[in-house]
Formats: sequence, C-alpha cells, structure tokens
Amino acid sequence: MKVRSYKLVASLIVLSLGASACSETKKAETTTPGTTMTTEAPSTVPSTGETTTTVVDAGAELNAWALTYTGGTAGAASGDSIKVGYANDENFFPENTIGIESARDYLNAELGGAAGKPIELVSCSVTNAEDGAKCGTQFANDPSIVAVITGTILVGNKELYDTLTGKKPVIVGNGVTSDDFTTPAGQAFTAGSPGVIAGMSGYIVSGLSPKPKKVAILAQNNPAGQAAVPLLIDPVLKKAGIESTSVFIDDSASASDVQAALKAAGADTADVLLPIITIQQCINVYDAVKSLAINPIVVTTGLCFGTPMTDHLKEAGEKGPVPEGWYFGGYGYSYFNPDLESGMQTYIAKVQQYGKPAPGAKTLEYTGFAGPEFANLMTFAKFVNTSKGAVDFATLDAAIRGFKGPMMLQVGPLNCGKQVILGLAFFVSVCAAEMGIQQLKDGQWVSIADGLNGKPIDVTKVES
Amino acid sequence: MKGSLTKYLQWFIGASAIVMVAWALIDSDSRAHFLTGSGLASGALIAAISLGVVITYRGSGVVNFANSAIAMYIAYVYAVLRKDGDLFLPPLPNPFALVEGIVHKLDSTSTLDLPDWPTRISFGPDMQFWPALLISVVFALLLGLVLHFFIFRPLRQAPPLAKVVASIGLCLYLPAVIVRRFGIQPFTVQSIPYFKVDRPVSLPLGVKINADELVLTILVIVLTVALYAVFQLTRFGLATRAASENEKGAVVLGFSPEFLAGANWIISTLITGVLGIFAATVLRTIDPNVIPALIIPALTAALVGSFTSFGWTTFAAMVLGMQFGLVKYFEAQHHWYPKSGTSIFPGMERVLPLVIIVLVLFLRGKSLPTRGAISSGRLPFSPTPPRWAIRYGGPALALATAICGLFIFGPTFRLALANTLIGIIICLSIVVITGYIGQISLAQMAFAGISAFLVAKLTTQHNVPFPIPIFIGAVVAMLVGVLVALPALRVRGVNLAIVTLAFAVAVDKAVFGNQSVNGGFVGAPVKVPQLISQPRDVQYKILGIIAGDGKQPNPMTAMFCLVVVVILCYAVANLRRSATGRRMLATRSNERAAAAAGVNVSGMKILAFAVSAFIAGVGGAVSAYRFGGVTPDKFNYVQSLTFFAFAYLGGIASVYGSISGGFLVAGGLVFTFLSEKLGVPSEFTLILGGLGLVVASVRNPEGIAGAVRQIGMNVRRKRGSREGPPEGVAAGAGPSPSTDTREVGAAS
Amino acid sequence: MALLEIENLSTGYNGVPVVRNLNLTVNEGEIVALLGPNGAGKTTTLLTTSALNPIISGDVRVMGKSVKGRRAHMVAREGLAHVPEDRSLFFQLTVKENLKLGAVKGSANLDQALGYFPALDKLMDRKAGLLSGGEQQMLAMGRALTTNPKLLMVDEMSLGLAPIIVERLLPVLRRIADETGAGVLLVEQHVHLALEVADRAYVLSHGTLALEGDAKHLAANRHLLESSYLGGAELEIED
Repeated sequence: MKVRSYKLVASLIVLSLGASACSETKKAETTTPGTTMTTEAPSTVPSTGETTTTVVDAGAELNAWALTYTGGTAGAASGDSIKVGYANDENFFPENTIGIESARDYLNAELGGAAGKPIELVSCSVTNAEDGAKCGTQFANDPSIVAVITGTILVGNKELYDTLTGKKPVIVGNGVTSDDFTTPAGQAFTAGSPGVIAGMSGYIVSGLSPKPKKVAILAQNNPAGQAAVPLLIDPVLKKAGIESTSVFIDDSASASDVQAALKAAGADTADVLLPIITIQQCINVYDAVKSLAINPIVVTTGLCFGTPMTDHLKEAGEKGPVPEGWYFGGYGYSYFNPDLESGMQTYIAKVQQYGKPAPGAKTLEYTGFAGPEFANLMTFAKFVNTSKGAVDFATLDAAIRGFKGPMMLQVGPLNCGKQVILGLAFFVSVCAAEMGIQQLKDGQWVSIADGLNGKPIDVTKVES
Repeated sequence: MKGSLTKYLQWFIGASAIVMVAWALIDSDSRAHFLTGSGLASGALIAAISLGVVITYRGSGVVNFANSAIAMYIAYVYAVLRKDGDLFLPPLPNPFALVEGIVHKLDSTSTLDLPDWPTRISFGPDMQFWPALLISVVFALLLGLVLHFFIFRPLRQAPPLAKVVASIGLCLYLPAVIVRRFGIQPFTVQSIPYFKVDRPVSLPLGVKINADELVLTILVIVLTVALYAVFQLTRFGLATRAASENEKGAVVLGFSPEFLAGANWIISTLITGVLGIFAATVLRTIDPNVIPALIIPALTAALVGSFTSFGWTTFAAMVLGMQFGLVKYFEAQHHWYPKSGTSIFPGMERVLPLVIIVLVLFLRGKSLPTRGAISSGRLPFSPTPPRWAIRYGGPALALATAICGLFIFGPTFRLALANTLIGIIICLSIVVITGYIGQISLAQMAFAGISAFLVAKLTTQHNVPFPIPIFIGAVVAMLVGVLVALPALRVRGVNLAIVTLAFAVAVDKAVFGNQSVNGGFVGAPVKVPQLISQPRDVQYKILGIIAGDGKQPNPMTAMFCLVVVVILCYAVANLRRSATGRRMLATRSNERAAAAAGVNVSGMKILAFAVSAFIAGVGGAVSAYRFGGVTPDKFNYVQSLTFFAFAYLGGIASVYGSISGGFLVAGGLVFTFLSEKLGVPSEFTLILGGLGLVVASVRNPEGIAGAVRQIGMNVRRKRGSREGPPEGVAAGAGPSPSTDTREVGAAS
Repeated sequence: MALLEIENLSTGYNGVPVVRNLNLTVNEGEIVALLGPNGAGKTTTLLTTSALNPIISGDVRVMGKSVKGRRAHMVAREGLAHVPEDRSLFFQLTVKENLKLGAVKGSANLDQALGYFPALDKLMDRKAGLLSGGEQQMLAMGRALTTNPKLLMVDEMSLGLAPIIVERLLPVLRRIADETGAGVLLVEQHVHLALEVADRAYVLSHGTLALEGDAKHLAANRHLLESSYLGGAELEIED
C-alpha cells in the first residue's frame, strides 16, 4: 500500500520507443545487430527484421558510430576519474541504472571515457522527498562532482532540483513528474511526456484516416495526468472537432475498475482509445478491450513495454511483446527495429554486452528507460570531449543548454529552453520537439511516422 | 427537539440512499454502468478482503487493517509458486550480516562474505495449479497461526490502540517485503487451467462477466453464506459470537477466548488467502499496490455490516465495487459533474466510501458495537511533565540542538535535523489527540497538507508575508479538525480510526489530487524568505563564531523549525499540566466517569481535535516553507499512518515521546545515523519500521519514552525501596470487574 | 473432599489486596452463603475462585486442584459454574443458544436446566436481551446448570429482582443442591433470604472474615450479623 501510493505520475512516462517493422525501403538492409555479441537473448525482442548480412564487422561499425557521436578516442580511459552524480529511484526504475551503467562501462572500456578520463558514477537513490533533498545536497556540496544526471524519480524531484539549480549542470533523464518538465535546473534531451502526448494527439487528428469522430481517453489520476488531458490532448482534439471523453483512474485500480472506466469513457462507441497509463493498467486495458469485445484503434505510450506485458500476452495466447495492432508514441526510433544512425544498434549491442539485470530480476530490461539514460551519459561524454576536458560549471551548463542535437535515440533537433508546445511555454526543460508513432501490425513493427521513415511528428506544429 | 430533528434527518438520509440505489438500477443508462460484470468483480474483490476483516473482528475483536496486505502476500506466494516454482522467503534476520558489516567498516578492503538466508526455496521450474494452491493454503494457515500466537494473543488485553498499531505495522511490513523481493513491477499470474474461457458469460439483466470474475463472485457469495451458517448454527460459531459479546460469560462456561480468537484468525487468513488467490487470477497481474489498497473500501463495507453481518458486509462491498463504474460514467459524460477549473473533480469514487461511513454512523445514531472484553487494558501512561524538564531540560535540549545544528552537524545531519523537527511537530499533534484524549486519528497529515497547500497559495498568489501564512494555515486546519470532530463524537476507538483513515483517503484524492489545489504541471511552490531558504550555502556569524559550513542546507532552516518546535512543545506540555489537560486525560480513561465528574466530554473532544489539527497545520506550513513547495505525496494517507507509527514508537502520550518519535521518522536523525554511519540501506526502513511497530505494540505500548521512564523509575525505586502500589495504579485505573464501562453485555 | 477450599486467601487488583486471609470451604450438597456489605470483597473472592483474578497469597482449591496460575476456562471445565454478578448473558443470542453453550464438548444438558426452570421452555427463541430481570436470572442459572456443575457459584442473584421473584428462585438452589449433590456458594446482600436456604454462612467485612457459622444460628442471632457487618461495634438493638 505504501509504495505506489505516492507515485505522482506514472502514466506520463513516455519512453516508448515503439518499434517499426521494416518498411519496404529498409527491408533489404536490416541486420539483426548484436547477435554475435549477446550473452543472453533478451526476452522482449521478437525476431523481426531480416537475417544478418555482414555480422563480423558489426562491432567495428557500432563503435565507429559511437566515436563519431561522442567525439572520443578509441581505447580504454585512464587516469583520474570524472565524477558524475546520478540520482534515480532504484526501487521503481532500475532500468535507468542498467542504461547508464552500461554506457559508463562501454565508454570507459572502448571509447576513451570523457576526454580520456574514466567516468565515475556517484549514485544516490531517491525514494521519498527527504532523499531528494539529501541526494541533491550531497551532490551540490561535493566539488568533485561535475554534473548530475537524473534517472526517473517519482517524489523528491523538486527538492533535488532546488538544491542543484545554479550549482551543478543537470541533465534530466526520463522525467515523469511535472517538476521534471518545468524545472529550470537542467535540460532533458527528449521530447518527454509533454512532447509525446501532444504528438500523439496530433497524430490522432491528422494521421488517421478516416478521421476519427470520438476518442476515449484513460489517464492516471495524479496531477500530471489530470493536467495533461486538458492541456495536451483536449485542445488538440477540440480544434479538430473530435469529441473526446476522459476518465481518470488511480494506479491502484483493479482490472475490473479499468474495464468500468473504459466503459464510462465510452470506449465501446469510440473510434480511438488513448490510454496514458502504467504497464499494469495497460495490461488491464488490453484485457478490458477483449472483454468488452470492442475494436477501437489504440494509441498509447511505450510504458506498455516490458516483461510483464509480454508474459501476460503469452498467457493469453498472443506472441508479440505488445498487443497486435496498437500504435505507440515514442521518441522516434525503435528498439525492435534498430537502426544505426540514431545509435540504436550501438545501444542494443552494448547494453546487452555490458548491462547486468537489476537485483532480483531474471531478465535484462532494456526496451524502456534504459535507452535514453544510456544516451544521456554518452552525450555527457560528448560534451566533455568537445570542451577538451573542461568540466567547470559554466562550460558544462552552457553545453547542456546549448545542445542542438541530434540526440542519440531521439528524433529531431533540440531547442532547449525555447520550447513551446501547444502554446504552453512552461515546459522549459524539454528540448526535443519531435516524436514518432509506430505500430505492431501482423507481428511486424511498422513505422507510421518516425525517424525511421523520415516523417516524425513535429510537436511544435500541432494545433490547438 | 434536537432528538426529533436528528430522527427526521436520519429518515431523510436513509430514504435518499434507497432512492439513489433504486434509481441506479432502474435508469437504464445508469444501470448499464452500475450493474456490470466488472462492477461485480470489483465488488467481489472488496468483499474478499472484508470477509476476513469481519471474521477476525468477530473472533478476536481486532480490526485487521492489514488484511488486504495478507491477501496480497498469499497471492504472491501462489503466483511465484506457479510461475517460478519457488516459495519466496521474507528477509530473515541474519546475525552474520552484522558481523560482515562491522568487518567491512573496520577494513574496507575485506571480502568477507558469510552465508545468508536463502531468498527462495525452489520446488522446480514451475508448478501446477493444485499443488500451488495447496502449499499457499498451508502457508496461509501458518501465517494465521503466527499472527495469533506472536502478535494478537499477547495483545488480547491491550487497549484498542495497541491492536491498531500492530495491524498498521503489518500493513507496512508485508508490502515492503514484496517490494524488496520483487520490486513494484507487476507480476504475471498464471491463469487457472479450468477457466480459459475468453468470451464473457452472459447473465440476466444484460450483465456480461468473465468466467474467472464469475467464479470469484460466486465464491464470495458461497463463502458469505457458509460463514453465516457457521456462525449461526455451529457451536464454534455460537461460542465465537458469545465470546465477542461477553468474554467473561464465555470463560465461565469453559470456552477459551484465546482458542476462539486463534481459530478465527486461522479461518480468516485461510479465507482471505484463498480469495486473494482467486482475486489475483481475476487481476491477471499483481503488484504491491492494487490489492493492499482494497483495505479502505473493505473496511467501509465491514463498517456497514457493523463488523458482524457477513451478508450486509458483502452487499456493501458489492455496491462499493459497482459504484465505481457509475461514478466514472458521471465523471466522463455528464456536465453537471463537479469540476475544478477545467478538469473534473477528482477522486469522487474515494470520497464515496467516506460519505457512506459517515451516513451509516449517523443513521445508526450511536457508536458501533465494541467488544465486551474482560478488561481492555491500560492506555499508555501520560506523565505530567516535571518542573525540572520545563525549566531546565527543555531549554537545555533546545540549546544543544541549536548548537549542533549551527556548528557541529554536517549537511546530511542538518537535513536530518530538519526532518526530525518537523516530525516532532506532527508527533505532537498525535500526542494531543491520541495520547491525551484517547481518540485514534489517522488523518493528521491530511490536516497538515491542507495547511501546506494553503500556505503555498497565500505566499505566491496573495503575497502574504511570512510568518502570517503559518497562522492562517493552522487555523484553517483547525477548523477542518473541528469538522472531523463532530462525527467523532459518535464514534469510539477503532471505529474512529477507520473514519479518520477514510477521511484521509478522501482528502488525499479529492483535495490534494485536485488540480486547483496542487497546481497541476506548475506545482505548488512557496515563496520562502531568504533567511530560512533551505538550498542556500551561506555562513553566518553568531557571537563571533561562524555557523554553517558554507554548504547546503542552510542551517537557518533547521533553526526556524527549532523555534517552532520549542514553542509547540512548551504549549503542549503546559496543556498537559493544566486543568484542561487533566480533563482530557479523564475523558480518555473513562468518559462516563468524567462526565459524571462534570467534564464536558464532547467539548473536550472537539477541543482536542482542534488543537491537534492546529498543530498539524503548523507542521504542514513549516514543511511547506522548508521545502519551498508542496506536493501531495508528503501528505497522503500513508504518511498519516507512518507518522502515527512513529509517534507510537516514540511514546504517544507525552511531549518527550513526541521528541523520541521525531527522532525516528523517515529521514530523521536515527535513520540517517543508521544509513550513514552503519550503512543500513534505506529500503530496510519500512521493513524494520513495520516490524518495529508490531514488536513495540506487543512488548512496550508506551514506546521508547515509556521504556526510558521505566528505567528511571526502577533506578529511583532501587534507591528509595518503598512498599506501595506501583505508579501505574493511580493513573491507569485497574479494571473493576463488574463496573467495566465498556458495553459489557448491556445493550446500550 | 471439599468441593471448594479457600485457604488464607489474599487477593485484589493490581497487587493491592481487597480480601485478606480468607478461609472458606464448600462441601457437596451444601449451600454456603457469603454475606457482607458492599465492597467487602465477595465478588472478588468469586472471581479469584474462577481464576478470573490472580491470587496474591494463599490458595484456592477447586475439586482438590489449586487454581493458582491456571486458566479460567480450564477451571470452569472441571465442573465449576460461576454465575457472575452481571449474569454475563449473551443478549444477542436466544435463550436456546445461551443454554446450548453449556457444553464445550458434546451436548449441553438442556433438560436439567429446563427441569429446574421450566419457565424458560416457552422463551427458547427469544433473545436474551429481551427477557425480564427474573427471566434473565433464571436463564443465567439455567445456563450454569447445563454444564452439570459440581460447584455452583452465584453472585448477587437477587440484584435488581423483586423480592417475590427472589423468593421463588432461592428454593430452586436448595433443590439443586439436594438433588444433584452440587455445592452452592451463594453471594447475597439479602441476608434473611439467603439464610433461609443456606446451610452455613460466612460474613466478609472490609476484606476479612468477620463471622462464620451455621445458617440457622446466625439467622436467630441478628445482632451478631449486624455487628459483623459494621466491623465489630455492638449496636443498640431495638426489639
């Protein structure tokens, strides 16, 4: 009862990197990356894509990409380490740690760390408000820490940011609470929940044909969820003349409650179902849709990815990692159809090579939050390499705030600090303005509108 | 005149309730959302928990707040057995770990690794349904035995407070174990092999329900009927009913109330466990959150059934489950639904249980049945603060704290100090309401949160200068406290605990979850004066000595908290020493006797609620200033429970106890010491805290403060060595056999 | 063997003695009256005998076995039936259900109860809480009888009852003692009524035994009783 109850936002986490099935143009070139280097096959990766072409050189190609991105020198890092503070809620989101630690190990072993020096992570777990202040104070008071990267924190975000503002450069990781998107302390190099949700609304309005008449929305009953619907979804739908009904549920709602909520939202007569919820509720939505015997178009977020969903689908006799036919909003690239340019292939290979499953877990979860966190540390190394080792506050802070992209695993350019989404200017920490939509169709990932088919959705252009 | 007005009001409320339910069934639109398969299933889930609650109450007089946590735990046992073939074990105390820790501290390069308890016992790669069910059932049985023998049998003569605390400790501990073992990701539950029917089953009245939901519903109904039969017709049931009404009567006939209580515990955990397993199958995945949260509606349903009637309880549970869909429908589709700003008023489906509880109490007109126990035990002793403590001890402690906070503590401990000080304020509010006047309130953080959010609005939107918002916030909290006190006049003991808990949940969802209160995306920041703003790394010169170390947090923040704490401690200590304080204690020990002695009992209760809510409001305001912002998570109902626990552990009936309690709060000085100096990981705090609560309630109801005082008394007794009655007699009032004021047998 | 032997008993609450150095016996087939003013310690004595209250010093032996440190319900199963001062009826249960609880194992001897209190027969399905005072007392005693007691202790049977009802109930005790051979310890405030049925009597005053003797002898010598109640001072007796 304790642990989830003070989760402020679980639903607005949009980290999905939906997968694209091979589009026709890409089919011939796809390789299955990393198979030569994995130690264990991850449970959530379906066998998609075509057979490998050249495997032997895959490693070198991936490293080449990484070196170009970070600007580092090949080889191991050596010397005094550069310390980076890392704050994350280890209880709830150990995947962030998988991502950042494998990035650290990869950088230190093969990419020359940051400007030749090894990166050392100073970790601090934030599970409540007191921890937020404690970790932040600890980082702020430690002169040897040059920057702070956050993972996902549910409570204590504000306290953390308050202590760090103006003291340490901050890269915001996989934000989930409103503070993550509105804090002046640092920048997040992804589209974040605001971008992804606004983009999904935009897609519903302009990307589906025939244009839907009625949308049923299911959101989390917490401040961010309650704010997201009237700010990021309703205005877009209303402008396009689409009728929308929204219902809010607690994260402690049972499967039957979810079914009742969907019914209340008019899901049985809606054309589109837009659930913005946790993986638990996502599983419940899947079941409810089956029970109600309805067949709407479902557009949701990558929160639905994960072993619990895959296991549940297996129980129900389905094969995919996610329900068939569903659309997923994400950062524009696909774990399940990894490409080279975005760094996805490099990530997939290296996270499996260096990553360790979370304590107590049997599988390595890397199709969720781990990706962007990996990318964050890689980008940090990029900044240090560019500044040739200068790690003072002014340099790093300027680098963070001035980063224009392209960001690893995120589609589109970055516009840090000047982002306006749907006319709202308070998402000051959200840098990316583009996102992607992908669909699992007939067991294959299809790029609907993302970085892989070159048609990502520009959130700043969505009308409300 | 007042009596007949109340009567008319009761009739009116009862009639309206019936009309509403009838309309929900008649109006086809509403019926489509009210009478649904998923509604029945939700109701069955709630009933699954409430049945066990009623069995336990009838058998042993304990309101088991942890019953939903027990259901969750057994469900996990079953699910893990089926999926992984493993029986998982809770963290068990391992003395080797202590040795390892010490060795590592002394020599950090040591690789000493001593054996540890296994976390799982494996029976194979997975398991079939029947063996898994069997093992889980046996486990449930053993769990019931453990709960009875080690916790609730020792507590039989203890006051209701101790039993509430023990079950709260359990409901904090059990989910913490699950989190430790499995994290919070949902765990897939294998479906039962006989119910792989995908297509829903059609019932009359157009209701469609899934096969496994139907099974759970039928199971619940069958068990309800069976339990009714057992309790009405069998001698065991008869004896349980008899013992619950009048223990002495049962004892003189040769029945052992302990045996009856134990047997009922086992029956309760068995039924809860089995229903929990079927509930898990309906839920498809389980996590440490969904099932435990069912306790609130389950308690509501049990309250409607007076903790006695299985039939009424299950009926109420069904209605509560079904209303969810209807409320959501109104929320989604109807424009007359209350709104706040542009979005709907959240959490109505949580407010409804509270409304039901208050209505039921109102309709019943008097307090719900309490047990006719032979003796209800002493409440924790509330000592008069001695003069030396007020004149010298207090100032000395305050000075010592100031010196530590300004000059000695490093950053981590300065933070811990501020946490402790705010904790003391909340514990003080609990001391007044529970320690002094004996009312169990589990809603203190709700009052604090109301004040905190108000402070946020006052400082940012209305530019009210510091420190005026603190007073305004506290006064508003006080007024809310008075409002809560009114139903409290009709309700006693554990019933009040339930009412306040439901109130806390309702406030949590409907007020703190309300966008216009918590600010949505923008949040609820607070404008803090520079001097006490926490994230500042400044140094000060005080009397020529440099205070602070130039690092965050600002030492003045803790000083501000200290000033408030000192003022409040003195105020509460003086309350205790005053005639009003004595009247409160009189009310606590025996309301009727106090009334006979001329104490205005109702007035005292209202006053106590007002004062404690005021103090809680001050605590909320101070917290708002200290953190520079307000978020709902700091003031939700789980926080109310946890602070209640700390207050109890520290000593719930004295100012000194609240100081000890403050030391123990999460992030306070003790936990920080443990994690910083001894390396105890913070995830163990809940596990240890929950266990600690249970142990404390059994062994030492007066908490740490009481233990310390006991030591002091023993020292003094050794020196003085007089014959005479122990101190406890005077203040504790031993039970008088035939004039026991609980409703022993008498239908009042 | 005496059914009940109280030997130098000191008992009380929270370590404070309320009864000091009491000696009392009850034998088979006899009715012993325990008299004394309010607060003398009569009820305390009964509670201690039932092991509902701990012994401070001395001993209490029921059926030859000491009750020291024993569980109350186990003592009850030895054949001790205690009808407490408040009767401890189960008001929510019917008369029949109250009676049925007489046996922990096997079936309760309802016939015995109904035999002595036939008025209960037509009240079988009525809730105990709805009975009149007299009916409740009959139920309380009838319930005690269903346990086939060897030693029956009745605390303040006449409390709240009209004298005429008490007069009807007391002879039943005599019959019970005579016909079943049970010993009866009767705590009473109504001295003359009690002495009419009792064989022997003890008088407790301020926690100590002030007087004991043959019931008829005491009935004939009222001044002895009065002075023992008041603690020794001889009163002017107006004849």
